[in-house]
Amino acid sequence: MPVYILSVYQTKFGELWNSSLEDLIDQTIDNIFKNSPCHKSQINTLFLSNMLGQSTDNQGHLASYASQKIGNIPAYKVESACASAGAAINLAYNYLNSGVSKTALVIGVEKMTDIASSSISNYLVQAGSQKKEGRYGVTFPALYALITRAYKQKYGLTRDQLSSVAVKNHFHGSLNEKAHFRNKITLEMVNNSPLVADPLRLLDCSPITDGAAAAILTTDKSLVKKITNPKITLLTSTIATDTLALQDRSSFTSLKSAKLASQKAYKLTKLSPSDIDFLELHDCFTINEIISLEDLGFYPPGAGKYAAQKGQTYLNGPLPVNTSGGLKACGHPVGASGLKQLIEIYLQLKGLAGLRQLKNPKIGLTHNIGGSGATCVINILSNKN
Amino acid sequence: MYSPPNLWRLQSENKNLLGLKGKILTYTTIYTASTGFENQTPYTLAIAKLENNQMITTQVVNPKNIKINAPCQVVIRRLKTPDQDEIIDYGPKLELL
Repeated sequence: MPVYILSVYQTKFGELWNSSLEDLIDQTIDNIFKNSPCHKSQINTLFLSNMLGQSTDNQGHLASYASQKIGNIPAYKVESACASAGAAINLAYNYLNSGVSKTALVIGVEKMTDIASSSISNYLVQAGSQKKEGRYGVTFPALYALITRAYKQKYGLTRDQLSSVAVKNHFHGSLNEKAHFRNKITLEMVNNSPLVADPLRLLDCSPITDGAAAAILTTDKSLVKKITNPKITLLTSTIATDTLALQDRSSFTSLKSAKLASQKAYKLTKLSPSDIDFLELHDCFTINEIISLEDLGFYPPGAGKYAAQKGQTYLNGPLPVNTSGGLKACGHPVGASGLKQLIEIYLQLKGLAGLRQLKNPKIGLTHNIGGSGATCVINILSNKN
Repeated sequence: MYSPPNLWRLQSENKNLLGLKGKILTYTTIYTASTGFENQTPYTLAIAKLENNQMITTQVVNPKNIKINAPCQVVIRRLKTPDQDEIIDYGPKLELL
């Protein structure tokens, strides 16, 4: 049965010092119902995605916290590192498809800027293997730097090709009022930014961000009737996993979970990459946008590095990627990013994306990675009814 | 923070790794570290494949001439800088040959 996106809401992403973890959840729930045809009493199930609350705020059990504002409904917290929100959407999609409930609220939240960056860096390593990586001083930029070095050795890669991804996503972010960073940047700024984990520089990395996002998904015909056209359907939601530690993979230049999840999504929807009009990719680091374009079948291996450099993935190009600004410029509150991706696709398909609106998009795809590729969630949305 | 039994389990592997030779598959130099490693920056970290086909991700103690495919061997060194109430964690690092 078709799963429809009924309503969405995203807080501003950024350094939200006036808001606590709980405040962000409260604001998101209050705001999503303001303009929704759905009343709180019509929500049957709640999924809340969050990765770091137990470390940053010593607060677990957040799904029950969120459900206080809805009612005594089933509520589940989902944690799959940076793919937590993607996994929560995936669970909601399957839950609705199974017929267990008709309407689900999915909320993603993260509060990252209250504590020192070295502590956040330490907590983010929980997304990798503590035994095989964290114990030795591995950071997340380091894992993607290891991938970058291997990619460069295998296919060749220039500094400007990496930097072009960040420049493009900051340009898109400059058009998004919800983005963490709205400043445009140049190749020189990326190329001369401080090294974080060689060869990755500061402006190759997505930022530490606070924020929350939410969507209401439904199969309830009485609610679907109330949706203004075009109605947005979640055609499919797929998930695949891989080894937790990067060292245990057969390849360092491709993420198997992304390949498996996308291939399954294409099969279930009978679509191919050529049918997809635009993408929200998990550009946690510039290298990952390049590799993801290859893993999802949009470019052959080794060719994804040309996409941003040649302007092909700009919003006026043949394959717009990360019109929200991506994780790089829109920001990366890890538990909320997968929902922000879904919301960007929704806004574009509804024609509500403002200055960054694409011309008549029909089908969009989100790609949400957890860790260094241990989880990948793919969602495909359409406005064809 | 590691508990003493956790450290004991981890360190019991050291004797199986000490002296194993291998080659560097990929590497990076870290300038921004996580807690407990801040005073070691910049430090170089690599993934290596060892002669027993085991993979390892750890720091390189003499990284000056590091390159992909460079030969290396496992040595045992102090890992994280411990807090005052923590036990020192000794574990495998890589030495370029």
